[in-house]
Amino acid sequence: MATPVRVTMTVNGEQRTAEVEPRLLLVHYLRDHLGLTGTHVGCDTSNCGACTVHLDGDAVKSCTVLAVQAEGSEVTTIEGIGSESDLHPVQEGFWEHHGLQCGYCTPGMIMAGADLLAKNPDPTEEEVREALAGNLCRCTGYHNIVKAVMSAAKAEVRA
Amino acid sequence: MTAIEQPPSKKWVGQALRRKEDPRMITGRGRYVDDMVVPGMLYMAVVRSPEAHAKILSIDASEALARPGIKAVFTGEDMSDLLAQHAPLLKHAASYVGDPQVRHRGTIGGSIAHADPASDLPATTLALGATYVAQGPGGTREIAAADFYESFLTSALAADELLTEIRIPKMAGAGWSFQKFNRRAQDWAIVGVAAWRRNGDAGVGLVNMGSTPILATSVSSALSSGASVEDAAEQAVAEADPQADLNASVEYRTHLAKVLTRRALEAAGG
Repeated sequence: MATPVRVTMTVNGEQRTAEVEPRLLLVHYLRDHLGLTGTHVGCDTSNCGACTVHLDGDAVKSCTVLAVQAEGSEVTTIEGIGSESDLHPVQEGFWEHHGLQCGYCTPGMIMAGADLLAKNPDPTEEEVREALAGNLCRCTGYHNIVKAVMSAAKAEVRA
Repeated sequence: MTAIEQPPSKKWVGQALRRKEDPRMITGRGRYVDDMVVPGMLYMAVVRSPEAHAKILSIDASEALARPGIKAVFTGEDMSDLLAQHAPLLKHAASYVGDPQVRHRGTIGGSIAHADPASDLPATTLALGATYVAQGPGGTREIAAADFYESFLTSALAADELLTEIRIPKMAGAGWSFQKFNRRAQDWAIVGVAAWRRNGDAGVGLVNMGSTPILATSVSSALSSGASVEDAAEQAVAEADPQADLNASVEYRTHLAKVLTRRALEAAGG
């Protein structure tokens, strides 16, 4: 086993330090070391987007990032973007517009949608679909997911 | 026609309702199997052949076993040898489930937890007097197969419990038979019978003869009190509650169950 390395990053606003294997993926660091299981592993091959988190303000697939690559970075996961009493507009949109059934792809969808709105507060439907191209849903279908993100955009524009 | 006098309720009809289960899932607090950690939990990895359409001639697990932290390596051979030796009825009945593709993906535990009365393995393990072990946040508990199947597709497993073990008493030389009647090879049984006999003892499980897998205890008691196979088989439906469907009427199922039970008992010998 390789020598553990020390990594420090800010996760959901809190500074976290750990000794990890150099090959440890960010998603496993979040899930297994920090217990943040809201970030899901759906495919292990960077196709499905269920593991999407924000790394220094950009949506990334955390199965394609080594924990050590996040050294010194700001990471936001689904647990950090909003809470039940203070939902992020995209979370609110998913609930209101039936953007989920089993909920497995949902955290990744929400993180991808939130990333889009942070950069483009008033996207067209095509832009929303483009932004979600890296996220796969196998049960709800994309119609309501797109609707959820669009509704959040309107809410944010109004806000 | 009855005239509708009351306008439909404004509260529910025509309204999009927010689902109760969504808040936990949109905030990352949904709990999926992969999120669970229980004390002493081991991790399993499936190793698949890197060659497509190749035959596996042998598997040498010694290098894997020598690595630190590896508790066990199981191959198909381990499973079938153990079962063939101690529970040949279960191994044989498993070969009737679906088709090869289905059997490659499905598991005995999954079949049992699904509690489908038409599945082969719930009734077979029931006949064998199995004990199931369930594990949940509160710990583990044993559930006798006879107490496990509550109603159609409903078992005694709680929502937060997983079936983690299936304990089958060793058959210790008992004779056995599995009789399955279906129209195409990969179909569910229209009726199936799993049976074993040893000296005066017997166990008989019925597939698709009620809303749960059925333990035909009347057949076993008839045999142990000296009844002939023919007479004992007549008791096959005493505990059953067969339903009619596109494949079979209640009468047809009842007839089949008696015939197949007789055949199974004859094949299982004394």
